[in-house]
Amino acid sequence: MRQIFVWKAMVGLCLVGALFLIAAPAMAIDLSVITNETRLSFKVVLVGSMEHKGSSFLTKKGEALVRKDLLETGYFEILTPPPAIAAVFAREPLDSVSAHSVAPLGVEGVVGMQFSLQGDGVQLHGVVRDPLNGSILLDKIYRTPGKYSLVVHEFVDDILYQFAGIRGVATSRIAFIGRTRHGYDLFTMDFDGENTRRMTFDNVLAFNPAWSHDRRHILYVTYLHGEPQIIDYDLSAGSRHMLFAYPGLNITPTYSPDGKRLAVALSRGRPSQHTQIYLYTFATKRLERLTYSRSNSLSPTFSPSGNALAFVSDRDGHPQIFLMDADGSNVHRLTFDGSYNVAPAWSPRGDWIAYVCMNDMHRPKICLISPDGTSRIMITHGSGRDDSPSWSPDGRFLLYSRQIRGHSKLAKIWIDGHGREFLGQYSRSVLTPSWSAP
Amino acid sequence: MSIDARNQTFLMRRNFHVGGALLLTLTLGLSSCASPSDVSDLRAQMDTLSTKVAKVEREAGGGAGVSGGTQLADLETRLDNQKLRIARLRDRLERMNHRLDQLMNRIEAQTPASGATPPAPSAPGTPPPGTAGAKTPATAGAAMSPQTTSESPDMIYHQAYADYQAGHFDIAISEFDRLVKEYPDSHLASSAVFWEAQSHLNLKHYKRALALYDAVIHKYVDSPKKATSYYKKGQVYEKLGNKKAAVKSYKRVLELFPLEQQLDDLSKRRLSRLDE
Repeated sequence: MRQIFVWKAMVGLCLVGALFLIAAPAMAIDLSVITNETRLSFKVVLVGSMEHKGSSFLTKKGEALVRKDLLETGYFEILTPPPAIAAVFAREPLDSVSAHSVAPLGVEGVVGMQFSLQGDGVQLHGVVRDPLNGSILLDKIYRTPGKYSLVVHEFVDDILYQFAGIRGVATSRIAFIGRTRHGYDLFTMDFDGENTRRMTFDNVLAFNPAWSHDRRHILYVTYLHGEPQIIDYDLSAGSRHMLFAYPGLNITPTYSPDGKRLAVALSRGRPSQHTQIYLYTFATKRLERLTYSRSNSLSPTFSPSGNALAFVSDRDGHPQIFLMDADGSNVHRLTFDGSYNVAPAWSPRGDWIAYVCMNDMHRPKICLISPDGTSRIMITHGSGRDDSPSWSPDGRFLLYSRQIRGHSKLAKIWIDGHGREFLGQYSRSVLTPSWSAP
Repeated sequence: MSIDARNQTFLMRRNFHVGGALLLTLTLGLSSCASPSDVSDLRAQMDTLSTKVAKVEREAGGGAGVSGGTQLADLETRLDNQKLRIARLRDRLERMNHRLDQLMNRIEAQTPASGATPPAPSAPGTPPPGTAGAKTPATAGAAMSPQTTSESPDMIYHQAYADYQAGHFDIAISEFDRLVKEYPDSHLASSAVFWEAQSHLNLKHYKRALALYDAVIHKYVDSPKKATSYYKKGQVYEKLGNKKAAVKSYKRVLELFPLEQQLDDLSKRRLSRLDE
């Protein structure tokens, strides 16, 4: 709690100090700089059941989810064929001639699907046809013993890969800390906010979940034993064990991109409670100290190559983002605008670091900065208090918590700041989201 | 970076296009943010404060002449206050240096003709075979057109640094190399050489990395990356199995950069490991 107090005190100090500072310069770059790669659009037509023997209820729900997933990728425009062509599809849904009929509309893919119940599970037969030559681009059967949404997410990821050549996020998961009646607990949900699952029932303060690259583990900070300690939740085994429980603060864990190491902030019983960043190697179980300043260093995040880390330090009086090599050398300051810059998250593409900055009204917002510090932009606006940015695995979206009138929700936004939407149906406040790999 | 190094860097930058810098500073209304006297004053204040803090720390740590908890608490309060003042001064200094960097970038972007020189016939030490390997479509154009001088040094640096952080070390090497060849007098040149060395280090081109770290140290005597280059040399020597040279490099860090707390602590740790 002392840590929280220290940071709160810092915020107060920053707000007072900011009155005497020159106003932060205007944002350095135009929005179009970060939208170049996010506006590809493929026109597709969705065809319902390829055959008329599927479950109608399931088909209706499944088709709706395919539509939603496709639109959420941002890569697809779903066209509605005119009635005459729709009638053709109704007779022969995925016939090559039928597919060819929509080619004049500029359609680049005809997506067909058939859902059926298989015992306790669901099967989806998904087909994508090229309208120009009638060839089949994708023909695959997806099965799951679980909910239909799982097969839909996989299907849409395959479609995205077929058209755009990138791995989609539809099979990724999101972990977050949710307020419960008596405290806080760890939750997970699908990338689109569906299938929320409560993972712990501790009812104690917790934060900062972090996924392993293979999605088998989640690290998170818990006050289960009175002080912040880090638990490793093995999802495949369904078991938990304490990973870091040094005296003092054990906070802000993050995995390296290859999953072989993790960086973490520990105070290790120092009377000052100053946290320093450590690197832990799983294979050797070796803990190596990286920072040596007489101030707080915390919130590490790896570059995609794993050779560098961004982190927060108040060594210059206020919390700012710094960079260093993964051996602790070559420390240099990255942020200079404003007096409060925290919670860095390095994009999987490597081109941006998202972090929490302050706007002119002293409200926390989400900013992006290039790793060389030359470009900086604030991408969230409005009256809410935005915190804890986390990147989608493809580096095109940001997830963060947005607090309005004391209630915190999870928000998703494109990296250029457009298309904000709230995720999930969890009714209580949610904190510190973390987006997994696909 | 030590205060001395910062000041040296500033002086070096001041020598570069000093007239243009002052003119542009006035034009852009940045004179209040970064002037030579400001930086000198800041440095003097930090030196004074550092001396005071050291004195208070000695008194508090030794316990000599301190009797009773009240006096000790008073000393601790004074110490905390002084440390806070130092941190604030350091913050101001960092911001001024950042503004100077931005200013230099603008000057160099506006005067590409005077800043650019024809590409050198060969690099200072030809990169190992294969270092100009496959390029991604997004960056290949820039990296493969060394004759183009339309890009300012900071634009080339920005792209090269992004490629470095994305792990495209081969591409980063060619881009940093291009910057150094085309703009040898740029204030970014020494950093470009440093990151080129880093790229080679990541590719395990240890000897080439050593040569480039040496270039940062000896060719760009005021480089902000000088201390780190000494430390990195120690690491490279360790990789090459040359323990004696590694020890020498780490000791140089301790001798030459006593105010580089982070690097000093890292060097001490390395030295103790090498002693084991």
